[in-house]
Order: sequence, then C-alpha cells, then structure tokens
Amino acid sequence: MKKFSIIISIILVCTGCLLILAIALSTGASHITLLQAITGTDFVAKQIIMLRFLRVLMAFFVGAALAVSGCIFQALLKNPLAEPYTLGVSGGAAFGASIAIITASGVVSVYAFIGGVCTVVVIFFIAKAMQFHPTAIILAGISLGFVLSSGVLLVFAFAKPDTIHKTLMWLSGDLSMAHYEHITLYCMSILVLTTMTLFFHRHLDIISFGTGFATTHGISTVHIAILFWIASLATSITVAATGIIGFVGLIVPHAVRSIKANHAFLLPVSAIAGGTTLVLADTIGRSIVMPYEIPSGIITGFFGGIFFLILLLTRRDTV
Amino acid sequence: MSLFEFTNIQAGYRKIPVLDIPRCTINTGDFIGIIGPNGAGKSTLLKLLARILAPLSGTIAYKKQNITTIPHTVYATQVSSVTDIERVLPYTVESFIALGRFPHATVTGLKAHDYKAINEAMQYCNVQHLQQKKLTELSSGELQRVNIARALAQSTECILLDEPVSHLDIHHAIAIMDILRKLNENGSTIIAILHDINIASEYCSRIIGVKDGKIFFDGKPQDCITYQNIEALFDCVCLVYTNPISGKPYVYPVPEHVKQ
Repeated sequence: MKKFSIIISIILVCTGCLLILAIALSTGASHITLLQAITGTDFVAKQIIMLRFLRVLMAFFVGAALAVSGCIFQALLKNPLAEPYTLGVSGGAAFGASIAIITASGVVSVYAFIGGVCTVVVIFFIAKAMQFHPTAIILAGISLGFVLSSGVLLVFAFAKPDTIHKTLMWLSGDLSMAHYEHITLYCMSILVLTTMTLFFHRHLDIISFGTGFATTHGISTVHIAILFWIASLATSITVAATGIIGFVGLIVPHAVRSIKANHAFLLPVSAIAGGTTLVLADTIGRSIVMPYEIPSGIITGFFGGIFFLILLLTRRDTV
Repeated sequence: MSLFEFTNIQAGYRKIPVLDIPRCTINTGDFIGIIGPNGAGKSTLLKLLARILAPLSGTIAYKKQNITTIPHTVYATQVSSVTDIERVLPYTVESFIALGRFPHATVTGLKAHDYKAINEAMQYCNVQHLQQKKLTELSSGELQRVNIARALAQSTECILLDEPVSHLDIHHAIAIMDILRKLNENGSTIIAILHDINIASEYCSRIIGVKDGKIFFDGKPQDCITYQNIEALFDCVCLVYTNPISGKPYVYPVPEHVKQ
C-alpha cells in the first residue's frame, strides 16, 4: 500500500513537472505557445521559443542543483534548516558580484564564482580544524556571512545609484541577466556534480543519522569532504549562473523528505522538483506584471515562505 | 586470544584527560559489563573502542594491530556499535537495518548475501513484523531491538553497546539481554555499559568497574561483585546476596532512612 502511494506520487510529480515545463515555454511577453511554434512555420516564433527554452533549461538546472546541494547540506550539517547558502557562499558571491558590477571591472559571474569558492575554502579549513562538527560549521558560516554582507553594504556606500539597482537585481536572482552563451558549461557541470552525488546516496543516509553513527559505519572525513565540495561547488556554479535564489534549496528537500527520507529517493526527486520549482517561479516572475520581470529569487522567497508555513502547520511530524 | 589491548591509554576532551588505563586486555568471546557511577568515564572508554574518540596518548591494538592504522571502512566490518540514535529519522525499519550492510558494500550496493544478513538480523531480534514501519513510529523497546538488529546486520566480531537497556522495562530489558547472550554464545564479543548491576551480574562473564577515570575492579561477577567493591564504587551502602537459582551475586541498595 505504501509502495503504491509512493509510485502514485512519483507519477503525479513527473506529470506535474512536464506540464509546468510546457506552460513555461508557452508563457512570455509575446503570445506564442509551444504548440504554435512546433506546428507552425513562423521562423520568429521558433526563435522566441528557442530563447525561452534556454531560459527554462537554465532555471531547471539551477533549481535542481540548489535542491540537491540543499539535501547534502541538510545531511552533512544534521540540521533541517541548513541550505546551500548556510556556509556563506551567497555572501561571498554577493560581495564578488557587487565589486564586479560597481567597479565595472569584469564579468559578474566570474567574480561571483570566485567570491563563493573563496568563502567555501575558508569555511572548509575552519570545518576541518573543527573535525566537521556540524554546529561549528554552521556558526562559522553565519559569522562569515555577516562579515561579507557588511562588505557588500560597504561597497554600496561608495557606489552610484544605478549600479546599486543592477546589483540588487542580481542579488535577487534574476534569470534575465544570466549569460546564456555559457549555458552548456553551467548545465554540464551541474549535471556532472548532481550525478556524482547519486553515488553517495547511502553515505548520506548514514551521515544524516549522526556523527558517531557515521564513524562506526566506516564513514571517514574524506567522504565528508568530498560531499562538502560537491555541494559547495554546485552552489557556487548556480550563483555564478543566475545570482542568489533563496529557499529552493531549503523547502524542496524538506517537502520531498516528507514523502520518503532515503537519499536514493530524495536526491533525484529533489533535483526534478527543485528544477521545476524554479522554472515555475521564473514563469510567474516574467508573466504576472508583463512587460516587467520580477527576479525569481523574490518569487521563490515569497511563495516558498508561504508554502513552508503551510507545510509546517499541516505536517507536524516531518522535521 | 586478545581482541583489544590497551597500553598506557589516556583519553579525554579538549586535551583534559578523564580516563587513564595503563593496561587492559579484552579477549575474544568476552561478555563484558562496564559499570560505574555517572561521569566515571564509561562512555569515553566505549568511544575509544568505537574510534569515535582518539586517545590523547597511548595505543589500542585490535588483534595486535594498532587501530589508528586500520581504515574506518575495514574497522566497521569488525566492530559495530549500538548507541542512542542521535536523530531518529522517518526511515523504514528495513532500510535502517540495511544501513548496517554499508561497510560490506560501500561501492557495489546490496547483493543477495547482504539481504540474507539483514533478514537474519531481523529474525534474531524479532523485528520482522516491524520492517515496513517507520523508526519514528516505534516504541523505545522496539527501537532498541531495531538498532541492535542494525548492528547485527553489520556482521562484526565485536559489538559495543552504550546503555542498551537503561530506559526499558524489565520485560524488554531481558529480551535485549537474551539476544546479546545468544550472540555471545555464538562467538561474538560483547562490551556493554550497564547501569543495572544485577542484569550485568546475571548475563556478563566479566565485570569492569570504572571510577574517576580508572579501572576500579575487573573480574568475574562472582569475584568482584562484593559489598566492599560496590559500596566503594558507588559511594553507597548496599547488601549483596547470591541468586539461589543462578548462583550469581545480586545487589540491593540500603536507603538512607532505614540505616538508623
């Protein structure tokens, strides 16, 4: 009976995802639906759908990467509130990006990636010194996050207003600012990293039961370090690709875990659900106040927060 | 044959030693009950054996080999450990017990003989009927049996247990101790921290009393569970009699108000 209900929910989730992808491709400033582009002969329509397709693809991969690294961090840090940005990747990336935008000195995504990775390197050595003690890592991440966000504000203090607006849009996760010429690079690296995590699903199961439990089952700090880097790199790549998009990495693993907690299920389903969630958020963001666009980070934060509250109130047993 | 050998071990937290064992040998086939007051260093001792804690100085040898030179994955196929689960997550009993096979199948995934070991472990601990239930739905007695089944599925020579029966009623405590006894008879080495001296006396072949970070006494229950030893170990007054059926000593504390 329980197996049956899991199969049903997988089928429901997959159909829902495909439906959302189709809707996403059909929605936009110009009224061209997916069906028209496929059946019709209009060259411009095909081009527009192609552009939308790239955007949907980027949103899907970024959402999937965020959800998967959320799963990993929640297991590694043994904390249901952990998410891809807990270690301060977002702070580092924001600092890097704001310097890039405000000084107009280079490619924003490269600066953001470097900022994110540098933060992770610092956290990694702190974590190593603390023997990967979860609470210590979380506290280190939060402290470093504060330092970096005051750095961002400092940069703002010396910046021109128009650059500040651009930075703010970037910080809220704006998919329209993404560099689609590098989409293959982003998607391929995300694909490689998320596929790698699938080989570690049993490691993650064991790690999530506790540090002592993991040690007595033969998990060494090497395994922990590998998973730490996979999740951190995936997050840094998403940040370079589309800026900071909160909440997907927190709520998606949470919601999926309430169906089944094993990582063999959790990782792939979170990836699909995370991807779809971000595609949905992006579609909403670019369609509710046309022709303006709301950055996806704002949509995921707003609807994600409300959804999370509903989940919390209806299912008390799934923390 | 010696399984563990301690040489000049000092262990503790934040570089402050709380446990000091100059010399101690644990043999294959021992059923050891570790007793002693709270904070004496019993859990520290068990953590050393589980390699959750590294000693500050000295060496522990496992089968004549220094344990720090044994990879964690290999060690996990030799020694398993049952402690309170830090986070009880909504896994099914079956998938939780399957985690015990992890050290034997890190890369390959579970094979037929792994499922055989899982089923045997479930039968041994009488938890087959629970296999589709989630851990979060179990009673503490059931959870403890499932936790032990998980350690059994690990197919190790030695099992370490930290207070396996402390919060269980007498019926469930006896059920757990019977499982351990059966395992010991089949050749496993069992090392358990026990708070109930009488349970330790009835089941264990060897009792180690730990006080103030030192081994206070070490021997067969008949020899070392005496009123002198127990009174000194726990700083209390007690009576020690012999169970007429098993011939093992049992301890009865004398409360403060009846001493006058």
